Amino acid sequence: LGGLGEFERGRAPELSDAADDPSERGNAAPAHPTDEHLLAAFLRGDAPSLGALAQRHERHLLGLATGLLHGRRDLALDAVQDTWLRVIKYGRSFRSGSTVKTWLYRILVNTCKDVRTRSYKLNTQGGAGSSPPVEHLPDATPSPSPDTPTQSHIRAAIESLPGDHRLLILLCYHNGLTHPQAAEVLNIPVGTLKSRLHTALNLLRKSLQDSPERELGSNTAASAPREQSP
Amino acid sequence: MPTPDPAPISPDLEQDLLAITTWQGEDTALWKSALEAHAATRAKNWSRARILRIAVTTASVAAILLIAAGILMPALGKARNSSRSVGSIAFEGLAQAPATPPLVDAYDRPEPMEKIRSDAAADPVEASKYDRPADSPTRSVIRKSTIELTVPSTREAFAKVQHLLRADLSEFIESSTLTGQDKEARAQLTLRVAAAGGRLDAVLNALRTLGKVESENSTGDDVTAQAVDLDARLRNERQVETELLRLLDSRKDAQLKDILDLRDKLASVRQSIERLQGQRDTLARQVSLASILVILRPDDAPKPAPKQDSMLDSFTNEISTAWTSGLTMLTQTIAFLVRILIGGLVWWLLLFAAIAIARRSIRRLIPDPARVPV
Repeated sequence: LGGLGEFERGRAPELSDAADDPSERGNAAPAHPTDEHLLAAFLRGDAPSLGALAQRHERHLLGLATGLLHGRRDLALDAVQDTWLRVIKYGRSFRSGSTVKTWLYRILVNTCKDVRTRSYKLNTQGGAGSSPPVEHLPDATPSPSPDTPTQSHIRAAIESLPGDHRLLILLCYHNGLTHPQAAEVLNIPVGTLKSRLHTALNLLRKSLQDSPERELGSNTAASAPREQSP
Repeated sequence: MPTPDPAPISPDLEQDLLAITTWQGEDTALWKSALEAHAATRAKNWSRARILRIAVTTASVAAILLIAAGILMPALGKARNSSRSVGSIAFEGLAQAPATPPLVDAYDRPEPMEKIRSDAAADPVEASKYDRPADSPTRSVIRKSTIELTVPSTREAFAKVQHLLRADLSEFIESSTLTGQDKEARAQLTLRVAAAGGRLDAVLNALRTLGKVESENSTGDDVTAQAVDLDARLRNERQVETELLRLLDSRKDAQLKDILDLRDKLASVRQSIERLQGQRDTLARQVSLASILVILRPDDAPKPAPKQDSMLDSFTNEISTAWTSGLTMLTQTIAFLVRILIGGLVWWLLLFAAIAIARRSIRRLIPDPARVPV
């Protein structure tokens, strides 16, 4: 990353009219900046660079957050906003040992965990059985295309898995990440990721087979997990 | 060996999994809200940070002042003590004047304190005498001198030294030895000369004329406190003796056993008085008569050859010296460490507490948002 910028000196970049249009930024920016360039530019005080970064990743982050938070879109929005807040606050802590993309996902995963913990605490503080878990409350921002019964069923099955297996499946079958990137998010080797994914999928199959609504398995037209980014 | 891919799943399930991790809906610009929220939080925290900064600055200044005070106070205390001791010497010179006149005869004619003070006040010369702190004649000092001379003739000088003493001042030769013949002759005398009246200096000057002074050394041992203490104890014991005698006179009709007990007590007190008196006399003699050790040797005497050590002796000596100095240094180092460790225990604790608080604060201030999910 570049030297100390306006942000690093203690002033957050101000929003401007040009914030939505990265093309209006200074001539020094490369034509196709990488995520790392954008973060560096943002840390130097260029707020629209954060907008450009968000344009690339925000939808994917929202999708994963929705999956991690049991389909609650309002919680997902909160989690992603919190993720950007942490990027703004702690952007200087980014090290070039990983990519900005996996760094963002790692922050998101941690934020979602915090949201889940917070909701659990809220539920337990209200008294046992006094109110349903937050995830089970009605979504404040319902999806324009609600879950099909099958999707609800799969979501419930995933929810029943242990936390690390749930995270593994959602990361690996999320549209934004390849397996090597997912391994980088979890800071484990790809081989370890695959073996854990194998276990997690077996558990998911078992969970789904317990229910008659869904047949799943490795029978016809099976597809292997993705190795490359979509 | 490459890890095998996990068992594939059906396309339908994969589609469903993709669907539940895909954002359905309009585009958002959450980063803008995050920027605004950050700006608002920063503004709110600004005043809090300012108060914290002021508090930290105040605490730092207070800590520096405390440390400075901790360093300066002992120095000030030391300075105060030293000034007090100088003043007290002058005062003690006045206050102890009745108790410590020249010891030869002073304790036999104790003068009341008031008289001494009034005399000193009335007579400026007398007052200045008592004001002199160190070398005042009221102080009791045992003086010892050593003088080593090379003389043309040891025997002649030996005889001359003996004639320097004055019998009327009770001066005498405490010991004397004369050994060897001619150029090998050596003599050593211990003279006791009157310390008062400048006799000591006079004798030393006379000795210096006998030959070439090779070395000279003088010491003075201040025994004023000891003399004062002896005087006080003596006075106290005499007071007890007087009271016992008075009691014995007034209770002549008492039982025999009581009278015998009283006499025993009186005998014990008198014994104590005798012992103290003896100590006081000895001290007085030591003070009134200075010692001079005179060493005489002929000026053309061959100088003693330095001892030639063998290589083994030299090596042994070196090892022994090194071992001793090593042990000394080790002891001093350990003592120094213990002093620092124990003496600075409070500061160490404060330092460790400060470091712990600072580490915790830093950790809280800069959390790792991208810690590895577990």
